[in-house]
Amino acid sequence: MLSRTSSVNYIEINSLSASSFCQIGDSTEIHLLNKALADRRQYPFFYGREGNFDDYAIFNEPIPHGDYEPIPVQTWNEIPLIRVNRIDIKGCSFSSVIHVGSTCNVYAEARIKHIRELINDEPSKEAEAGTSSSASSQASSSE
Amino acid sequence: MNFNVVNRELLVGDVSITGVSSSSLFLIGDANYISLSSTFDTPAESLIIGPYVPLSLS
Repeated sequence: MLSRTSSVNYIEINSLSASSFCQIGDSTEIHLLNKALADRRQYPFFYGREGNFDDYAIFNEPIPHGDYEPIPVQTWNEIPLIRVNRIDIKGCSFSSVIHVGSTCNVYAEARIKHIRELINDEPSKEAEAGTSSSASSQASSSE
Repeated sequence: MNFNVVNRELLVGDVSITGVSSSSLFLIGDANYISLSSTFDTPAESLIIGPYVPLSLS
């Protein structure tokens, strides 16, 4: 275990959210996993149980990692102290860590899928040409 | 290979950060192994222009 003491005089954090944390003190293993499906709609109507992670490949596909090659390291802590005066953090989210102290292994993974849905209220070119698209007329009537 | 590290005095004044986001780590201290990964998907087909269709209901 690496042994250096971390000393922080003052820390201010505004917000911690979505699988993130602030650790003061040493730790050995940190595992963070976060999946987010962010859907923005022009017409803000959402059913409570919408969305399924299994429908999107991004939530299941393996993320390639580089090969871990342990190198023999000899560390000599002449002054075993890390001193910080002041830390000011506005926000921390999506599998993130604010850590004051030593750790051993950290593994974090965040998978985020963004979707934007806009309502097409103008008649499409096909509709203007005569081959009316029922989809676009339904959208405009629902407004 | 022999890798020698000598840690002498480390003194930091003020740190100001707006955001720590998407699998990131702000560490004051030592670590052995760190692996952070993040995928973010906004392809062209993520922009849906058309009638209101909800996502698949679970």
